[in-house]
Amino acid sequence: MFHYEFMVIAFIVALLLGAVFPLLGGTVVYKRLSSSGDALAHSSLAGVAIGLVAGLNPLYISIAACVVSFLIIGLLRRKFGSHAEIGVVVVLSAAIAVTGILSGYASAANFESYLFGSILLISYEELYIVIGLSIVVAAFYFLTYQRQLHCLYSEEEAKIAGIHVRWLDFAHSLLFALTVAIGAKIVGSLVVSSMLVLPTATALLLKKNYRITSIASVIVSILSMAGGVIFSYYLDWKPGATSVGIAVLLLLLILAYKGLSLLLKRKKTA
Amino acid sequence: MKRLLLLLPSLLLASCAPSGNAKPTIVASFYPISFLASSIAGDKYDVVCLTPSGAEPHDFELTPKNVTTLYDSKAIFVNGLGMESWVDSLQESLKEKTVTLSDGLPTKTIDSRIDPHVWLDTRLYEKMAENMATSLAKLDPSNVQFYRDNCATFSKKMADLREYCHKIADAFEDKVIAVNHAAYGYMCNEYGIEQLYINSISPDEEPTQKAIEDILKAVEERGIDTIFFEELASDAVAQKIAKETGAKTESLNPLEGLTAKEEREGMDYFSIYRQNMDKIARSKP
Repeated sequence: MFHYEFMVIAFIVALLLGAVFPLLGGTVVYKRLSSSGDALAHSSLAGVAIGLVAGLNPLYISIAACVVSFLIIGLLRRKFGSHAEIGVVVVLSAAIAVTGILSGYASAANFESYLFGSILLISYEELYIVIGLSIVVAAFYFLTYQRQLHCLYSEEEAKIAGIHVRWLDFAHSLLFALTVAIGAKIVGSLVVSSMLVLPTATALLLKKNYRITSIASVIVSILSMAGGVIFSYYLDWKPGATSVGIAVLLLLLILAYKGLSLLLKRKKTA
Repeated sequence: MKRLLLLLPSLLLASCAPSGNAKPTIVASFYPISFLASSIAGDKYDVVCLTPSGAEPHDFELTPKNVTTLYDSKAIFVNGLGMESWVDSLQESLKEKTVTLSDGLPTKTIDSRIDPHVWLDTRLYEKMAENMATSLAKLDPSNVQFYRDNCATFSKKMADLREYCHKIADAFEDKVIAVNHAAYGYMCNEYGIEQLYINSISPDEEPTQKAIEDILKAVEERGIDTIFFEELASDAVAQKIAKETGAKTESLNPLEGLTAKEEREGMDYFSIYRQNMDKIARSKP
């Protein structure tokens, strides 16, 4: 399997992005914005369409579209209060509409090649981008770990404690949007929007503290991403779909395990 | 047991080792390209077609096995003109051995976009066969004559096909067809037929109001009685138009791929091209 260089690169990228996705996705899940990955992936498509029609670099515009979209989601989140997820749907719909309208003006061929992300076809340049992104995300995560935890616990208290909540939020948004835009281009939007949420969801089922949940989500995510690369090689499946399939399977397994142990406990007490 | 254990590594080695006497492979992106490849390369190369039968080349995504095939192959033949969106994302070493067969062909545009369906023009397809023969000759100079001969045989078959189609087209008085996806521009152009279409680029795109209105009007005004759709894509729009105008629907194959049934029945480029022309000729009011 590792006889081929492209498989080595795919494996490295699976490990790196596998760690990066849940580190950023966790916060989004806790903020009840789980589908923002999906919304942003569509925004990045809209960005590609705008770039192609306006004759600008589609990759940069798609990154910009992601950042702007996530800031809008953040604003709408404050507006809608307890219905935070509405903002996500608004952005998602707008992005799909823009893409649909503009795709009539851009050449379909060009469009497809920008949408096309496959972990099997990663250039050196893309590999370096992934490595750079991973370093930045890891640094951000560990440097702001305490402050983020504080904000998640209570934004009000964090403010009183002197944490620049807005700035922290903005920095996280920026990194999150950047990761979705780059991730969609490199490994495809299905993988990105799933890996931002599923591993954290699985880890949450364990009902442990924040630290263990974070660690577990990274492990689940890496297992899914790397497993997708390995299994798809031997089964001749599509790697992205295989990774997502594994992530869902892991979630179901933990769910089944939890259900069973609950059942056993009840029997013991009964 | 011991003997078995001793045997094991050699068995493993035998199954893993790239067998030296196996034929080298060349990769083709989708049907018309793989048909050219096997016609010209004959028994000198194994031809692997990346898009499986029954799949639409536009929707195609690579698996690890596909990519290993690309790495192990001597050359990768593609149509180009945007039919294979994955070519742009290939690693440099793969791009280097990729041959775009449509290079240098006079292409046509449809709604200000390049129409990629060049293989439906028999003369352009012949040119692509020549391009294929030239690059195979470069790859394997000891068999230059073999590839030239195959190319000549292929050209002769194309000439026969052209003659057959011209005869049919001449008898087809209407000289107009209605299709759901404008894939037949090159074919229609060759035989002086006009192509009315609903979608210009993608067979599965949502059509605009105006496109539907235009085609409804045209179908009624010109007494067209058949709306053509393609087998590898949805026929919903064609059905709708047919219902609205009382026309019937019929399938045409733009030869982007064969259906599983066509493959079973041993059909190929030539027989399907003929079948398309027959269907068009039968669509008289």
